[in-house]
Amino acid sequence: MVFFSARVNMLLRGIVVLALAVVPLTRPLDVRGQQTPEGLNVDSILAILDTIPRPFMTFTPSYTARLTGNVTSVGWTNQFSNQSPFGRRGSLRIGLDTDRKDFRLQDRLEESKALTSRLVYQLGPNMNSGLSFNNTRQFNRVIAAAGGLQDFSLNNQVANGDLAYRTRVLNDVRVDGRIEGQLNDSEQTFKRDRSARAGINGGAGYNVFGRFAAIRVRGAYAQTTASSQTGAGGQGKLGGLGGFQDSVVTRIDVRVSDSLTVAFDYSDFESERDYADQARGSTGAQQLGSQNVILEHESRRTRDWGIAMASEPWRALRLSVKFRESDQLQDFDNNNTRDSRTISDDISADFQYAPRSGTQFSLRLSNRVRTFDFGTQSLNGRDQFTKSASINFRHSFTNTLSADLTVQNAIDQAEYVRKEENPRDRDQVDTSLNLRITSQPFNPLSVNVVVTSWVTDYVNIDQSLSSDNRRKEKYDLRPSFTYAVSEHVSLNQEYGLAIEFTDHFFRPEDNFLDRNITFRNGLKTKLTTNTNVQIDYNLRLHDKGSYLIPDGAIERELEVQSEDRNDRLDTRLEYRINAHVRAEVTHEYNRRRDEFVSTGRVTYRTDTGIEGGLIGNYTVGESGKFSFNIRKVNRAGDFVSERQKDYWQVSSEFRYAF
Amino acid sequence: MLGGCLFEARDAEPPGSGGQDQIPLDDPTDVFSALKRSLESRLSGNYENALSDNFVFLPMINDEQDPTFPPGIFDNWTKQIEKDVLQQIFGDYGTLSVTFATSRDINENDYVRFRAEYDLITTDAGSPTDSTRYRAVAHIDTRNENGNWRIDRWEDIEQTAAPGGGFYRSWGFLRGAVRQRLGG
Repeated sequence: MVFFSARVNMLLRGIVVLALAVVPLTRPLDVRGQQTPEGLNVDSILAILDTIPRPFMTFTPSYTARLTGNVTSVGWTNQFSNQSPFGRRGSLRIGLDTDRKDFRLQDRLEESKALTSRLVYQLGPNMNSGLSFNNTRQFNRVIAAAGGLQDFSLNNQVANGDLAYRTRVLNDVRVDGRIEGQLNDSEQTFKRDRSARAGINGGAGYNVFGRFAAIRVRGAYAQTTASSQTGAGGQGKLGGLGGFQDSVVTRIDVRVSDSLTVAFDYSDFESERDYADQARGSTGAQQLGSQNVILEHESRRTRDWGIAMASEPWRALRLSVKFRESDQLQDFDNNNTRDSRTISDDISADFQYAPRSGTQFSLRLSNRVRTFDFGTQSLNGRDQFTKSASINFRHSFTNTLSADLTVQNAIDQAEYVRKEENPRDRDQVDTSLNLRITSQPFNPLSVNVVVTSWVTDYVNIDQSLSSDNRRKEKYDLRPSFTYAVSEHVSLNQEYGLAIEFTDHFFRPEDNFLDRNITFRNGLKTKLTTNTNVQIDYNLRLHDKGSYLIPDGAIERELEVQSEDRNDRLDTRLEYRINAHVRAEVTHEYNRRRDEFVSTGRVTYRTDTGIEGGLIGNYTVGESGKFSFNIRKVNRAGDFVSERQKDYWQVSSEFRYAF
Repeated sequence: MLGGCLFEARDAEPPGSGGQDQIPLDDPTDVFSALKRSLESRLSGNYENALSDNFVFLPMINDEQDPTFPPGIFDNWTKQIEKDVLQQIFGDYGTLSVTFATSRDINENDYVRFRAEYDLITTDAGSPTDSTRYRAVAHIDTRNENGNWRIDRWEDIEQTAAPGGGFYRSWGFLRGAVRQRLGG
């Protein structure tokens, strides 16, 4: 309800803003000649503006340069743009972008360049025109391990012209239309595609009796003609490609009463296209070369409709119900193993009750049915049923103590049409509980406790797959405390206990248990006005193994198969040199011990690393900015590769609007 | 404790033979054993277990620009999408086999980036003699999550040349084609 009324308000606000923006620049019929108390009207304002001398074009360029480097790559980006008024009613934007990234760990580079330009010109009170030209070039080179070059390039040139008209009839009806033409020339490594596209779209909106109802209709149609050429010399050329796209979208919003709204929408999209595809060999390898170009025909159709009702019978109670049905169809002439049709029906209901500030109860129920049809050749056609229920309860007991509880239960079921040949019927049931308690018993101390539990059942119905059926059950408890000892010192501690059971329904001998205990201790101190120190210690103890009833015992016991311990210490020292620059040094120590109980093998791995550098932020002039982050990284460890041991990590950005 | 709150799964038939053990993910290379075991048995357990909840997939530029695909087919590729695509692949193909040839590009205590050349062979469920190969090179990033190594990023980076010219399609192309069939 709130959402819907917000939408209505947004729509009304949008109309007002649009009117405020358009009226001063245009001369709509219904305001022509109307005099303001001061004796001015829109025509006279425009006439006054037209008499103010100013240059035909002015330039307001802006430039951004960005450099990044780390262990994997070094990249360099330049962006230049200029926004200029074009005459009295136009504007021109030109952008030039270049981007290059060289990879350090393999012989690979990526490069892209783009020229974008757009001229917008107001032809009349309700009519705008636009011309744009974009040229983008992407280049990707990989030098394969065997030494061969693998280049991929994509050069795309697009010229576009459009004309848009918008007006208002009888105050309550808005009408708009747009005509667009586009030429596209796309050159890829092995082929060149050219296309011409013309499109028209239009829409109308009608507000019935003010805010009682709003009706919107929009339609679009586009026709494309294209050609594709693979290889040099004209062989492998396919002409007469392309196709059409046709769509219609409608929406009706009705405010039945102050507390009840209903919305209905419908959309229909249809397209056909012919395009050039590469044939595949018997093993699936894409066969390059002009002789292997095939003509493919694709048809697509999507229909979608929905109805939503929202009600707010009392101030504290909100109800909403939504239904949606969609039907998607894809059909290919040659590669018809890719044919598909998906029909989906969704219904959901929401109930929200907030009797007072700080207390809220909500319930959400949903049901979804999907039918997947992949044609007669496929064994994969199926119906899929998904149901879910979710309850949330939030309550603030006092100003310093609150709780948030969510319980969810969902089921997903797949039923195959040809289950005799493809017996993959399966169910998955998910249940979860999440409780968060937040408390601040006294001012410098705050406490959070999060308790989470998940249970998931994986059930394959057929005997050929049911041996894998299992239940995963996970319990997670995470209390944490933050204690601000003084203005300069704060402590943060987090504890975690996570236990995950895997129980097989038919193979109890494979039942499994995985346990984690984690602890984090963080200390933040401000040693001097300009010096901060942060120390974090993390400990993780983990073990796992079979979880069975030993002979003669009654209860299950964990037989540990492997256990590991991870200690990690991170230290960070920061010193502010001046208002713009600070120095930062971080040190990391990471030690891991793995023990495989059955073999008695114990391994240790230690990683250490130190990074130090400068971080700066400068303002250049009134609208410029320069920032940098440059640091030297040294790493050491049992398995650290040579290139990781010593490298620079750099990022810098310079931005200036002239 | 929480199982079967509102919704209950259907009763399953007692198993015939076979099944798959859960591969322990004690070492970064264990993720490849888990993927292989899962694909070859066409059971999703080990595959899902080997993926981090933060899993993302990034295609090669060739696949992203392929005229077969509508724009955005590879966008926001999450673990849930990977699971849906995997189930579809299991249903589409009668047999699946995969091999990985790996080397380590980045090697840290809690993070390893593999350069892996994979070779996935699928056999059509409807016509078992019709097999297709998907081969390419990927960067597969694994992270230690609470003591278990899992894949959190898979980026196809390099095509593999096919004998007689041309290149093999990548697993990423197969992923895109399957997601398109599922309705994006």
